[in-house]
Amino acid sequence: MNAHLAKGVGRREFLVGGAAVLAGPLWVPPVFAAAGKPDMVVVKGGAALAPEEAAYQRLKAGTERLGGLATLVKGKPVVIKVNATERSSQDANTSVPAAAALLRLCRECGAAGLTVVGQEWGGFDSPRAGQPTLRQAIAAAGATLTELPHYWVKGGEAAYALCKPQGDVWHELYVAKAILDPSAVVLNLARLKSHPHCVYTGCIKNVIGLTYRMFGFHKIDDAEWPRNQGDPADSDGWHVFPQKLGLAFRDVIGPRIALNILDAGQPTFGWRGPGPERLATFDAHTTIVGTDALAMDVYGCGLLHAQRPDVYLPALGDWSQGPSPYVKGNRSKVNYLVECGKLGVGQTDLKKVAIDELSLA
Amino acid sequence: MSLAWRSAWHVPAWLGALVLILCACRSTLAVPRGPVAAITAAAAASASLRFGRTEEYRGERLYDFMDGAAVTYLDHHCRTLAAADVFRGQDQAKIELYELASAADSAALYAELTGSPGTPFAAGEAGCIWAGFEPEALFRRGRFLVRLLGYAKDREAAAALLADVAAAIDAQLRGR
Repeated sequence: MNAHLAKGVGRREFLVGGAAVLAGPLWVPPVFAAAGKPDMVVVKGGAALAPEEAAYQRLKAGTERLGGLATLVKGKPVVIKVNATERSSQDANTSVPAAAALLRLCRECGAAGLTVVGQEWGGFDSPRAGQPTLRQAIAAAGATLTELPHYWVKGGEAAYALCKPQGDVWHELYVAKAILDPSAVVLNLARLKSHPHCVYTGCIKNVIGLTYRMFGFHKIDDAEWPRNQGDPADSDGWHVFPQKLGLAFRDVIGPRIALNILDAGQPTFGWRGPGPERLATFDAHTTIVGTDALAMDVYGCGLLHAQRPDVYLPALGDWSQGPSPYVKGNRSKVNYLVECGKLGVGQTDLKKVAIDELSLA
Repeated sequence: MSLAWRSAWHVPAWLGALVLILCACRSTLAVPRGPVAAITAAAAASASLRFGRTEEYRGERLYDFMDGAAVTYLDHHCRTLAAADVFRGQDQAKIELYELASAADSAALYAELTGSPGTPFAAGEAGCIWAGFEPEALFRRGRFLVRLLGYAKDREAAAALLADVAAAIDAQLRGR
């Protein structure tokens, strides 16, 4: 078990202030991180199955290895964060098969209620000919979709609570109340993909969609209204992006997540660039489940690098040097996975992570 | 010739000139120059295509459309995005029509976005298409840049739809 989880989260300074007062413990017992269980399970296979069935079989096998999803969700309300950021292609969002598989497994495991939540950017309605949208898949599963209000929606802040991570990089971090409800079991279902401005996105970065002022992650004064007016220089905080992301995850959001799931059935390169990169997927037929989001991201980033080592960057490498377009696009000029490791978000040394690798029969 | 006539003979000429100026102004005003107007005009001129509602994102509101990915476009001085869905039977396309500050900005953004090899696409002053799961086309004309995505069970049908949508939009961008 990794050190982060062994320490638990009770020691974290975690304050909820302002008008939003939340009662009760703000962490979920790390059920799946019990002694004798792996930190991460990588399940591969299912190429011969329909995508949704393959995703379901992989997820079921992975969670069973961790103790069974029922131990986590039975009789409890479940809140799921997917990635639905891209309105023009499903390839840049949590896949419909992965979302449908998780909803199905939660139902079978006796979840008391299913809610998909997130501040997203049109991806719930991203089309694909002959296939359902995420919105349709969520509705078909009988789950509720709660689209968190964007920062410009008047009164939208009521859906969020003011939280206080350690340090002073955050002025005001507002996090979705839906995940702070102590009775809810929060599942983080992220798509494995590249990112035009920070190289990689997976479990950790996926939680930005649970915050109110998403722009605040790359803005020094996150409480100040953005006024880019066509001038990206207003995004003046890319250099503090790794620290802001790491602290928000480590101190506030990460402790609320009971299980991370990395959707790597078809990992994605080239979402919105950078530059010459075009959106493209490859078949990996893989699902990764675990409790250490950072370790899972390091593993996932490694999968992308292994697929295109000439173009894509190594998970723990230098993301500021070299000819890769991902280096050019990397706004923070640092490797945010490495920086998150330094902050204690999780484990980056996979030799210290208990990983089970399974293949579907 | 009376003095009154001598001083008033040019009135009809002035009136005529005024009529010409007003007509010119009317025709100019009747052709709004922005990207929303271009899509609206394309919809009106395309009987075989059914256009959905056009959404407009000005300036920093581009973040509302695509979150952090907007930075690339704002780097190249994107002023306004007009976005719409268009349908033909069961097939669908998405239009993203960007108006940038200048033709040079459009060319620079186009060059950045088309760095990977694609197939030439016959639209605008330069165009390219990529055969992904959903074909994606990109072309530029003047200070405008257009991104199209096609959704159809048959990729050829999607590509054909993109060609027709591109032609409809491109026809409205000429001279704007």
